[in-house]
Amino acid sequence: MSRICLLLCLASIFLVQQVASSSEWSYICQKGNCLKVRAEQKESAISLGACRLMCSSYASLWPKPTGKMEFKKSLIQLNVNSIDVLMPGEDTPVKRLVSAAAQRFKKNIDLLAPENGRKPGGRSLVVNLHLKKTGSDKVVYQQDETYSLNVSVHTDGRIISDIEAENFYGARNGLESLSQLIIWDDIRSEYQMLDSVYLKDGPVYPHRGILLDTARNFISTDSIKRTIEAMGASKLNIFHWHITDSQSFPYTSKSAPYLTKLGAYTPSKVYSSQDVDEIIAFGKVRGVKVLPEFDAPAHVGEGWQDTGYLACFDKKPWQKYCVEPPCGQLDPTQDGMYDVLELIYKDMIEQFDPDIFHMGGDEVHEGCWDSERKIAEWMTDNNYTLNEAGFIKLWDKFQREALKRFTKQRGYDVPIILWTSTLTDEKYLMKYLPNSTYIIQIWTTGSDKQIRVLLENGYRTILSNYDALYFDCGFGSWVADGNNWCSPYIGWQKVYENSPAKIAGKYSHLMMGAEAALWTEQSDDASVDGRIWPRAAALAERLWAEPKSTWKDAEDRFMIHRERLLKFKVNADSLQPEWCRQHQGSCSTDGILNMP
Amino acid sequence: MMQPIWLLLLLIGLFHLSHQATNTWVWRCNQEVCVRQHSNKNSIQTNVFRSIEECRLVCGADGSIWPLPSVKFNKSSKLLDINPNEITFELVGSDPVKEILEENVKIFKKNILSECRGACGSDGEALNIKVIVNSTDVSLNWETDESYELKSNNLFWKINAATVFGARHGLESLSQLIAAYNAQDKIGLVTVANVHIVDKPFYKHRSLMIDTGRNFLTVETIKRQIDAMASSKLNILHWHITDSQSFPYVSVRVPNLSRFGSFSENQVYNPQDIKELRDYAKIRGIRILMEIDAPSHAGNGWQWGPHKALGNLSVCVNKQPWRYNCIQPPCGQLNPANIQVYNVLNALYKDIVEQFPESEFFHMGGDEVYFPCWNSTPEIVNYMKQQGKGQNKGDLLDLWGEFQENALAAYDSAVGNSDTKILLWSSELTNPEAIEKYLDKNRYIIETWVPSYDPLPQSLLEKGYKLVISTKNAWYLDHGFWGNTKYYTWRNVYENRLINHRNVIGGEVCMWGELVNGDAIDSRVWPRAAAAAERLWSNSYATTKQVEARMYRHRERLISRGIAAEALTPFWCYQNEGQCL
Repeated sequence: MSRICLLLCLASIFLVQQVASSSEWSYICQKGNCLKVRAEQKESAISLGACRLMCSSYASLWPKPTGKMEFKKSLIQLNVNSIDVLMPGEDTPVKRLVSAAAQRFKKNIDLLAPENGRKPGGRSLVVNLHLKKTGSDKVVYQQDETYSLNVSVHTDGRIISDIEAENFYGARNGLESLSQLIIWDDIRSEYQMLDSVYLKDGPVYPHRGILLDTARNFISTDSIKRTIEAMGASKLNIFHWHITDSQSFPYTSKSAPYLTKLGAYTPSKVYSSQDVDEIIAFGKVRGVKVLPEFDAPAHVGEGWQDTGYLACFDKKPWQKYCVEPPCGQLDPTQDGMYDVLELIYKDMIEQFDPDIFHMGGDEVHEGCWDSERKIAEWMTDNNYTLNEAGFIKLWDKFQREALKRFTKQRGYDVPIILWTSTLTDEKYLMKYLPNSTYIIQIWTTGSDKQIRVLLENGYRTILSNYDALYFDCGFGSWVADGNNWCSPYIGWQKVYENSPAKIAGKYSHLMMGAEAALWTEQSDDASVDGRIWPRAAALAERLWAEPKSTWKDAEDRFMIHRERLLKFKVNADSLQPEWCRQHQGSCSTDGILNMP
Repeated sequence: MMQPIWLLLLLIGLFHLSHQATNTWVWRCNQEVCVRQHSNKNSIQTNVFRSIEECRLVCGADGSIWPLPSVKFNKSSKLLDINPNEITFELVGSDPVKEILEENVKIFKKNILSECRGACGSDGEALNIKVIVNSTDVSLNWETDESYELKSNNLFWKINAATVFGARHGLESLSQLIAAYNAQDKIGLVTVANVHIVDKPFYKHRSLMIDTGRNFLTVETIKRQIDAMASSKLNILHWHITDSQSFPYVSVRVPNLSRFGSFSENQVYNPQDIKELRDYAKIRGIRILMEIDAPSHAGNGWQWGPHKALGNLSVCVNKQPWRYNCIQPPCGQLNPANIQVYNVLNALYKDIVEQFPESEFFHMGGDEVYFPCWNSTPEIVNYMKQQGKGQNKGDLLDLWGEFQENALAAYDSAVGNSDTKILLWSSELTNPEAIEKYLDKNRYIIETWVPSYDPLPQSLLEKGYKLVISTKNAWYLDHGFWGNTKYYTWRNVYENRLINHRNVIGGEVCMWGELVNGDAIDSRVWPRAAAAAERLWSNSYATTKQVEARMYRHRERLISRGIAAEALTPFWCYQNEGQCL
């Protein structure tokens, strides 16, 4: 037991001074793992939460910090009813954000403990936020998100925490880390926190996201908010909203309301303007930028039926015209179509105020356009050949005009994201998609040669390689027998190991980051939490820290973070029996839980 | 002046069947498929349905009941709007029968109101339901007659059943003959005017297994599983309540088991929790089959023997490296060399028997005994030596057999007779060459958990054993998330046919708990367990394509009833039947 005392005796001495509580069990720290053991002295038993703070690497922070971190292994009781988050200065939009973030900070700490039986007492906590920029509250793409955090006990007994950052978003990250250094001690029935910390931290990649598809199945705003809540807790910063597809159009367009009326599954399965505003505001407080995607010219259908601008809608057999039912593609030959498109862009620009926008652009099917006589006639009349080259030219016409309409409404150029597709093939890429405008989101495998082509040609890229970041893989197929196309299920270990730096090699400066994608053909509110979490948190550490170490070194902290998400009412999947969480390091099995 | 009014009334009468709709979408039944189409505001449309659910009620021979009635299912295409506030019941049966029926009437009402998310309008007709139960017997066991007959003539329904549990199934079917419509901003309930169902289950043992040893499940979560089971006419909840990881069952006689074995003081099942769940299940026609897995899968909870001068009750507990001592961490196996083990088991069994006095069955686990654990424990090796035995596999198998014999004696002494059927997982002890030496075919029922291609079930049947089948490569719902295992789709689950033999008493889908807890279990289990439920109830020859629309409908039904069943397909495919093939 002497080895354990070496690690914990400081804390033990401190804890013994607390009012006696009794527990059959205690936790000891052994080689960085907390193990449940019979309490030798029931009064000095150490709770799992306390053990983890002192025993786990980085005091159990997730994602792990990238800069210097120093802390003393000693805990102090916190008075949860006396927490102040202060920022000097006038009432500005930033200050209002700070106050919302402070409220969330307190609420999330509150959620750690049961409502009843909290022991009174403890020290007050004052958090001072020092922001260099307090002007705009806009979530800017690629903004500075670094912060430094200091915790010490003042001579007057209060716990003082200073957080320094360039802007609100860095400061918010500081608050997030601070909240992870506070635990609920279920033996003593009190809150405790580390009493002396210095931490400097910032992300490696600016683009750390989750894509959520709300068109294949409708996802309620509550579920979206839970997702964003967990993103904030994991320091992910981009919520990529694949809001429409050929199956449904739940987005309420102010200028073209008929699209929603026809395109929503039911009148209640829609996102009203107010819903969207709320989601954007909810994201801001959590440092999450909502990045809308309007996928076109393919992946459109429901909603557009009456416009006459739709090609091959719901045409059968669908395999000839699209990748999944119902088929549908915009008809690029009709000028009126671009007017409707412009209305959608206008609405989205007004609401999302985007400084980066996603135009989709995936899986355009030649067979669809080819099947419409009027398109073929138009092409012939305008000297387009009826082969791949001709259809690519038609697609290019669409993309150029769409971009023009978007830019017209936006008023200035912003980066546009497109999925990898035939258009991003080497032979068309440079001709049609200037790398000054377009960022390419890669959804092929991590070993696809196209990645190299993109990087060599100077394209900024975002990774969503399906072999590691498609969270819908592994379940049943819905259009055929058997499992879905990208099976098997991807474990968190693989997500963690998927390194953009390794994939990009010497071009890693062109990697903006990555996104985990949840396409929702086989999930909706009933299972969305478990599909995304905790796996997306594995991506979060990969992108925040790009660690050289493997998932094995992160496993204990990861399991702790998963429990954190549960406290925030996010229904993250279980990854092991609870026994393993109480006996860290005892279930290590090379990533495979052995079961009959 | 009368004439125009009459004409109007006549028109309304005519169009009662073919509703006037101002929704965006309406449905039409075309060759057994519900087809969505634009509603046309400018003209009165005939023969259209106001919701996909309304269409599904009558479109095609199979309608929307899950599992499909197995003997007879006739229905008209006539629909009737009903007023949920004016449903009257006439219950005919003995008092204990009526007591259970009354509970089921409440469940029935709650279920139908959930169809319109509690926003049902009160337009429509009053419905009269008469339930007649012939037997006064309210015990529930394998021999319980679960059949029922359901007949309706417009607004008059009659359920006839031998037992109250058959009548419950009848009410369940009736609730599935009611759906919500949505028209002119009005939501209401609609039913089919004339129906005749004769129905009974193919297998008498239709179960779902849950595991609360690996991760704790709250009583609420378990109740949700029972609700979903009742909605799908499964009748046995097999509760693998303990394992080597934890012992959440609070034994009144041996409180140390959960004191030492639960994850925390809050993560336990008290006697009142057990009774509450038992009664909750029984009202829904479901029995709880308790399993205390032994001698393997027993570790945490059994550590305190030496403190109480009882010696080591369990050996290898939490031993590392676990790979040398068990199949999965943490290790732990009961100590067959210590007579005190049987005394503790006897006390524990007494608690269970008290809580389940009617029970005709009990599950003793018996899977995955890891011989190296026993074989490396000096106390056990010595014990075997004293008996003049060696340390080879046959000797260890004998030791296991001896344990099983003593455990059975401990159980029988707790009950006071030798009538209880004991279920055991298939294992080395149940190998065809070994089984007859150790296990009496009149006492034991073997639950096989081998893949569909494994000959074991057939061999055991040939030897005269009764079986419950849990096909590992179709009905193990935890697969697909670890190792090289594959996720089984609802189609795989549905297509799993059991061996056709009179001694196969049924089957079971298993939800091992390593990778699920909390609310996530709903989506792992459902609606896939419902696919197994139809296999076990109807055992029909239908293909998954033929049942797809009905399955999707049942999934939405489970969602309405508060079970977070997984989505199987884009909602578009639910609204556009047969269009996603």
